[in-house]
Amino acid sequence: MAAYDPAAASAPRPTLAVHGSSELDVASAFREHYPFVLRALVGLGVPPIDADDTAQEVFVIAHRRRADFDATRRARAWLYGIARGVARNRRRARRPELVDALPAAADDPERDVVNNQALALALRAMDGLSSKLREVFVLMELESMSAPEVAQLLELSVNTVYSRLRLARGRFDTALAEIRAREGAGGT
Amino acid sequence: MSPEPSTSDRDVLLARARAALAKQAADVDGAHDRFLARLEAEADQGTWKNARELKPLLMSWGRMLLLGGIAFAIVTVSWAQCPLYEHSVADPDAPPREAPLYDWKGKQRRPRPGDPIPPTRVPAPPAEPPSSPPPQGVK
Repeated sequence: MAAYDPAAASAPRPTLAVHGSSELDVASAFREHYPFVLRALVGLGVPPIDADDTAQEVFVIAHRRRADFDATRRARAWLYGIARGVARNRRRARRPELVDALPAAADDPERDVVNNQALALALRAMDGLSSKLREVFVLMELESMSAPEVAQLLELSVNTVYSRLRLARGRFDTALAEIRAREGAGGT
Repeated sequence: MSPEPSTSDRDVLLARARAALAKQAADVDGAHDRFLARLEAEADQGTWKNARELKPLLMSWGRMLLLGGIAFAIVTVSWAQCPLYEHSVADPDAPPREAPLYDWKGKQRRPRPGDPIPPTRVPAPPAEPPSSPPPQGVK
C-alpha cells in the first residue's frame, strides 16, 4: 500500500469556510500536515497510542486560533509550534509497550512488528536527550528535513542546528548501545 | 559491553521507526473526517470562548466579592443587634450595661425584671488624718 501523498488527495471533500484572507484554512491544511504533526508529536515524547488524539487536539487548537496565523510564516512551522506546546503538556511517562498496540497493516504484519519494535527502541534511546537536542534530532533524522529548514522552523542558526545534531547523534548512539548491552546481559 | 552502533545501524533503526509512523491515505482520510466531525460538533455547541479571557474572570470574582461582602455585613450587623451578643462576647468582668431609657420606637421604656440593676453609688470612706512625723529626740 502506498504512503500518503498530499498532492494525490485532490478529491473534493467538505471543508470549513475561510473567514478571511490571512486566516489559515485548517481543515484543508489537516490533510497536508497531519502526518508531519503526528510524527513530530511521537518524536517529542507523546506515546504513539495517544498520538492520533493529540494530533486532533493540535488541529482543533489551530482552528480556534486561526485568526492569529501569520500569513508570512509557513503553516508547518505554525502547526509545529502548537504541537510542541501540546506535547509538553501531554508528555507522560514513557510507555514503550504501547507501541506494540499500533495498528498493523494487513499486508505484512511481521514487518510492522519489526518496525514497531524499532520505533520503541528509538524512543527509548531518545529519552536521554534534552528537549532542544531531541527537537533537532527528530526533525532531521525522523522527518528528514534539511538543516536550513530546521533552522527556519526552530528560529535557530544553521550552525546551532548542526551542533545540536552532532551532540544528539552521539548521545543517541550511546543510549542505544547501553540499551542493547542491558538487554543482551538480561538474556533477552 | 557491546560496540557503539554504527551510523548505518542508526539509519536502519530510524528508517524502521519512520516506517512504523508512516500513515496510509486511508488513515489520513479517517483522521480528517473525525476532525471535521469534531469541528462541526463544536460549532453546534456554540461559539468557542477563550477560557483565559480576563474580563469575565474579573467580573465573576468581583460579583462574588460584592455578594460575599453584603452577606457578611448583614450577618455582622444582625448579630451585633442580637440580645445574645452581650452574653456571648461581652467581657464577664465588665460592669453591666445600663438599661436603655428608650426603646427602638423612641418611646420611654419601663424597667423590666430582667434589666440589669444600675450601680448604686457607695459613699466614699472618711479620709484619714495625715500622719505626723514622730518628734525628734524621743527614744
